[in-house]
Amino acid sequence: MLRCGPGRVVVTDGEAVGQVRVGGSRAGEVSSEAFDLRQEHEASERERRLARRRRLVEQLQGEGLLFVFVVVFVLMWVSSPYFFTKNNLLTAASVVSVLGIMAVVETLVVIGGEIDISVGSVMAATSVLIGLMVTSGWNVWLATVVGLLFAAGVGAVNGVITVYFKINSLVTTLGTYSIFLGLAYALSNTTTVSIGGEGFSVLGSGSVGSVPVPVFFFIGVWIVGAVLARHTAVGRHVYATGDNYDAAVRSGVQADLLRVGLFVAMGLASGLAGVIVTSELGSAAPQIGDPYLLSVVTAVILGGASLRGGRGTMVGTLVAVAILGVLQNGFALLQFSTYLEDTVLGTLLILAVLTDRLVRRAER
Amino acid sequence: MVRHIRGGRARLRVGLVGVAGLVAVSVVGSAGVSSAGVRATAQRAVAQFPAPSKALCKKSHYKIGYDVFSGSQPFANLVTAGLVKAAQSIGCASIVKTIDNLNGPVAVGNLKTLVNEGIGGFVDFQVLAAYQPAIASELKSAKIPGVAIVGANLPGSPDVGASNYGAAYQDGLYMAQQAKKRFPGTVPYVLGGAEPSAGAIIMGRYYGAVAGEKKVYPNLPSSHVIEVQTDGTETTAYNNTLSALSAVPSGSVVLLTGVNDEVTGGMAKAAQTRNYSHALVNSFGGDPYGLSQTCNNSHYVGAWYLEPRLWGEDALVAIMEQMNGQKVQKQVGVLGEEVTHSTAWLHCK
Repeated sequence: MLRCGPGRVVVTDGEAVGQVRVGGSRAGEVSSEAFDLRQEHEASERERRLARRRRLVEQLQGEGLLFVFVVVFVLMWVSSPYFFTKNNLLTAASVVSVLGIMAVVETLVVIGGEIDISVGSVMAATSVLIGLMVTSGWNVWLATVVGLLFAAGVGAVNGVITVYFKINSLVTTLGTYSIFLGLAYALSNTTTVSIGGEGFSVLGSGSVGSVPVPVFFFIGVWIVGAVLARHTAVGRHVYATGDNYDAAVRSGVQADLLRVGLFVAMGLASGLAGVIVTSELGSAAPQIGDPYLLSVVTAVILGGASLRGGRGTMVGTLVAVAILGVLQNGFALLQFSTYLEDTVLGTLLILAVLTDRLVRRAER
Repeated sequence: MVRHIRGGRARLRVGLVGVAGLVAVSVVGSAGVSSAGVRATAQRAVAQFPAPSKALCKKSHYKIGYDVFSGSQPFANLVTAGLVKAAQSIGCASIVKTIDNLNGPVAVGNLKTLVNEGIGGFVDFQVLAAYQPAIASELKSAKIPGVAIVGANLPGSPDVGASNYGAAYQDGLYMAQQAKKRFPGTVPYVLGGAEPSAGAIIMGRYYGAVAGEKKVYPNLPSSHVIEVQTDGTETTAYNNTLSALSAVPSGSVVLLTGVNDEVTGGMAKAAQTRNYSHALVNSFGGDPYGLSQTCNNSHYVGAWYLEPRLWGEDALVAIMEQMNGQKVQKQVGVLGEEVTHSTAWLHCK
């Protein structure tokens, strides 16, 4: 049964009752024309309902994330007198920046319908490569450039295998994860190498004013990512590709090239993260990527990006990264068990995925 | 604790109280460090275990199986190298090595394979306690003696390895003594890099270090003792120490040590990043990274050196003595020693 407003159609059990006035025209006895009209109205009403529901769920998703952030932040503030201090918050921001740099680009990759889980090993391999070059007498900056090119190259390998050989990106990057982590261990002979140089250490542990340098890297990458996603044709193409690859291709989007580009950017971001951590620690080691293996993907999913592609925002990722930062910092300050941190993270992740599921259902 | 000296070279050992072992110590080969130099200054106990020598060769040949949890983990590699080299040096023993990559069923399977290959003794370097009873059972049914490099204890067999609590206690004690000398009248903050995921044995290192520090500073307030939880990597140690230092007033005397050299290194770097100029660091383990920091970083008072190569030697002696029908001491742990910038064999510039 469909009931409409003034000038309305009243349809009961498939039978139109009364007269219909549409667009000023007067219709006579309603038959198949009215039936079509009724179907149109049903469809548009359903669309409106779905859109309302989707907006509501998306709003809940976004605000829910912000709510979680506020709750976690306040809890830490109340629990530790050292938490809400300028130095500590800057420290938390610095710590989480490395993760954030990778999470921004991973968000684009996930929106584009792919995933890259090789980030930790690319970090490690980049770090080890730089370490090897520096110990062989290379200039540290030249070694850094080569390291970044190498990381971008790994991204290209991921992209080409995934896109042109049509291998699932999870499988591809799982493979390259193992390959490059293994190489990092083998090349380094599992040793940690000191990398000196005041200039180089600025990248990781320097500060401008009182703001740590890694924070600037993160902000820079985030702004680029946000502008790209929201305000450029490339960003729209990424969403379109992730949402419906075939439709995007038919619409003239160079989806394959775009996806390879996303993997290259991911490799570059992982390499940059590796450079920053190497600089922070003043040493290169194959283990440096271990803490980032899953946390990058966690941040992206927590931020509302859908593993099915086509959905995700940089603001969501930013809030998710902030949540992870507050949790890491707060747990360290309070000397809470790292197991508990894992439990909290896992719970948030499941909630994020469930919310994504709700959004999808709302669309049906 | 037993301390014996023989021929000018002695190694300090302690009887263990169930807290010995090693899981994730990223200690690596002593590149640039003279092994002979190490031995020259190391202290050796001889109560039960002599240094490996041809005197152990009562038979013409000893085929010894060795299963190790990792073929890449630095400390494990050093222990393995020590065992293999010692066997080669005495001439009558050969080591058949298998790697289980932290997979218990594979470890049990490896032992069965080694038994089929005709080994007469088995050295077990495990970190997974859950599978040790199964390994012990296999050994019993094959009537083969075993020895565990802990890691994890092997029921019915002797253990060799480090005294985690004891060594860390000495590490903390030495650093605190240095702090008292350099910063008299101050009450330091002590930050200990722990690794809870590695289990109770490795947690002994954290507790040992704190106990050593409290020995020197008995009235250390609890707010001055900060446990930095890590996963054994330098990166996490750095990040979590940065955060934990928010609870430490700037200008404080800070004492830092961790479960291994890399964790300690990450903690030291964090203190440096946050400009704690009165930070003292004592590395734990003594891998080339920790030793290089000892030479090059003025915040380092030194490194507690666990002598991993000697663990393999101990294991060889323990298994061969059993194969010769001798009884051996149940638990023997290397306490290690402090090496500093002035230690001759480090050759610090």
